[in-house]
Amino acid sequence: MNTLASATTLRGLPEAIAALAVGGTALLLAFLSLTRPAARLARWPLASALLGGGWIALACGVALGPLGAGLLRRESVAELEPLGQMCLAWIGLLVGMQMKGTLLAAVPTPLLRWITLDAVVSFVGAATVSWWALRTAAPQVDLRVMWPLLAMIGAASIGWSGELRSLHGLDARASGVPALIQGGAGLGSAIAIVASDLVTLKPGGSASLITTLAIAAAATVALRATLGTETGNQGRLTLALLGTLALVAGAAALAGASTLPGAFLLGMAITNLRGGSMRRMERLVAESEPAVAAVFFLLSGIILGRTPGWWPWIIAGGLLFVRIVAKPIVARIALGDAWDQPGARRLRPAPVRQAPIAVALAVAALLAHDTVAERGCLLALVLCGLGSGVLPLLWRART
Amino acid sequence: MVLLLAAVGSLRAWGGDADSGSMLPGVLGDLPRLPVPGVGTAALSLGLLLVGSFVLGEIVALAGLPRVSGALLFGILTGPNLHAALAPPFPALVPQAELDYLQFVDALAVSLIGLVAGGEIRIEFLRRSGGMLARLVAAEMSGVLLLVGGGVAALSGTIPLLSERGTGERWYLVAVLAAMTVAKSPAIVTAMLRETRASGAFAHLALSITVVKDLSLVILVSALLAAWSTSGAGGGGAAALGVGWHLAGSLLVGAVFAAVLAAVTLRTRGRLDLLVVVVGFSIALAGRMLSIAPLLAGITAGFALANAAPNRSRRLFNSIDDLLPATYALFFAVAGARIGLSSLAALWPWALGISALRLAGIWCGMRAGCAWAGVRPPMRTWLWTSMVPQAGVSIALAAEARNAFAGQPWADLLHALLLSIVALHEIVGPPLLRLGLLQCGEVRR
Repeated sequence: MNTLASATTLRGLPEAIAALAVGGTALLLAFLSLTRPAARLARWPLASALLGGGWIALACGVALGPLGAGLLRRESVAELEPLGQMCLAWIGLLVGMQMKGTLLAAVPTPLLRWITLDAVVSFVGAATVSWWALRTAAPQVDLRVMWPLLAMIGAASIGWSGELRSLHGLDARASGVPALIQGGAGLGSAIAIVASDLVTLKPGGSASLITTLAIAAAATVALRATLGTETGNQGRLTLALLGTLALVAGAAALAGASTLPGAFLLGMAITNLRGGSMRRMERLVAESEPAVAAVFFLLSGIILGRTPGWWPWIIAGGLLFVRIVAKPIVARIALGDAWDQPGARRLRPAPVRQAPIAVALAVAALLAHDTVAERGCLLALVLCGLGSGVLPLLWRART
Repeated sequence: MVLLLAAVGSLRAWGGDADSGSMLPGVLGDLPRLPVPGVGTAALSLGLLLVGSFVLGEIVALAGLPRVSGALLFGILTGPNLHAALAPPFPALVPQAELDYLQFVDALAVSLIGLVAGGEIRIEFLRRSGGMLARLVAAEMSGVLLLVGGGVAALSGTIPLLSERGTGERWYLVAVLAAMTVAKSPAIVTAMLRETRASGAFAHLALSITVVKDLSLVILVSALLAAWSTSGAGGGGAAALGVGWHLAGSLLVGAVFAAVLAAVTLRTRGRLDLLVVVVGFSIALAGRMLSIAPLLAGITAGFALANAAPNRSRRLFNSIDDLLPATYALFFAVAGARIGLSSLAALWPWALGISALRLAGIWCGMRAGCAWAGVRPPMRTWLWTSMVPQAGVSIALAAEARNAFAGQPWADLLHALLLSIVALHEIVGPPLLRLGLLQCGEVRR
């Protein structure tokens, strides 16, 4: 007899085994991302690229999901959707939290120039390449129908890899290339979220976006009013934060909008509001980043299904080409001589690496609307991310 | 708060402008969506219940009531049962399908509550107060079993569930009903002690009695349900073996989790919140797969960790502490939303009668137990208040009984009656426990 287990929602033993496999893997990944050896390992470039990019977690997800061992049935994968939404909300929050007014005011002009140029070139380049590849798969499809997807890929190509809150590390007085690369990574993620949601806005879709943003704003006001200047109780902060995030994620899901902009707005509000509770909340979110990222990439791997045709691979190749060719040229134009200085030379591959937000944007699109096209785009961005992470390392090893 | 409810309500009524299908044709088109009800928008219910419970908990705390009562009340107000009873022209704020999906939190909550409850019990305390604890548990259980069992047996001719049964079946059902009413809620006791930060003799004794009593109850109910299956197709030896494994397996799995957690806390840095969540689910899943009790496994793991590696486990328990308010808010809000108001409306005279017998049994049993164990006032007067709350364990036991008696014409009625009794104690339990803590001077007003 099992007295208490009946409270769980699991129905059959095979599903329980599958869920245990996911839980065990998540446990292992969360454990690995928190260990001291993992921190030491992250100093090694290849390990850093794999761990920081979430590729190990993603590979575990692929191994467990329909593409790999097929341990999880499609119903089980579908049941993971709210967890995916919560992870996306957490990511949006992280990115939004670097939009501090004082920090944005201190962004140096060369970085602004660089990221603006990069956003335009990457968006246009990636969208064009993807349009061409998608046309090969479905020649009869109109550009207007394809536009949201192209815009998402275009937005996902903006910026480069770094932590999602890299802008925090930007020192206004440091105008060196390393500082600009770090700050640009964070700024690029923010621009990608805003661009993706504004450019992909369908006629009539503004209502859903506005509703989501309104709920995010209302939740922030409620959060601030209830917590006040409280600094003592971490548990109550966690409760309030989780509740607000879930509210934003759920409202977005019901309105058929992406989870990211609402959470992004929430993050912006939290970081710009005064009060000890807000600062503690920022710390709480920042400290959880490695573990949440591990779970998010695990889920991304699980939902990565089979896609008919080669077009995702063609898009991935095209995106990689755009990154390798266009990104260094843009950096050179925007930064001028600074890009050619001896110290900056070894950092040249940095803008080539795809930002982690790219996978988040693709997953958000897939959760909002599950089509073969969305799945293919997720696969393309995963492949491009992997390629853009490995190629600079090979280039560095050669030189 | 009102604005938030209005916003969520209008969003549900409007339903958003989500696409029902894409315009992408052929190889790029829609994938067949699987009908998993309540999944897509479950996050909205999750967020509403968390934020609403939090805010209403703060409001009722201002009135001197426990925060968990606020969570329960919010669950009742927004849940599908009240909506069905009132039938207003707008959709339920928390629909049934999403509520069903959110039951996964039960598993997590039971595991975490087990870990915390086990971590609160120290070997020194058991060595020092073991005899007293045994006397109190024995007296209280006897009081409830005798008064509820006797009262129900005496009135069995008027209770619809029992009046039409044969003598043997009637006595068996009386025993099951009485045993089920012995159950109390480690979740509410732990939540209340955490919320009020009570840490005196009353708090330690209340939690220890709860844990020991629930351990005894699992054995008692297992034996009763095994007796039913033995009388049918099952074999007595197999049933006894099942009960044995249920207990021994829980202890074994708990010990394994304790060892794993001790190793993990030694080798990790930073926050352990996510790890705690994953461990909670792993214990629940192990319970499902291995037919063991997650609560027992959690208690064993918490007890072993706290006593074998007190320094090492501190960081882990701190992380659990940080997650408990969210877990409790959701657990009690979901419990509130699940309260069967229609069953309560139909069965309230019997539920009220049995609840009165239970309260009388608890009071008499604890008074006798306190006198036997030498407990002094004011604890002697007020310790009974900690025995009143019922919640998750009782609900799980009721569900287990329904499964065990599946196919019997009275199975659903028994389940509804048990849930109605739980609902009453779920509502009155937390304020009573707070009153007891206040009277014993372990909480500031």
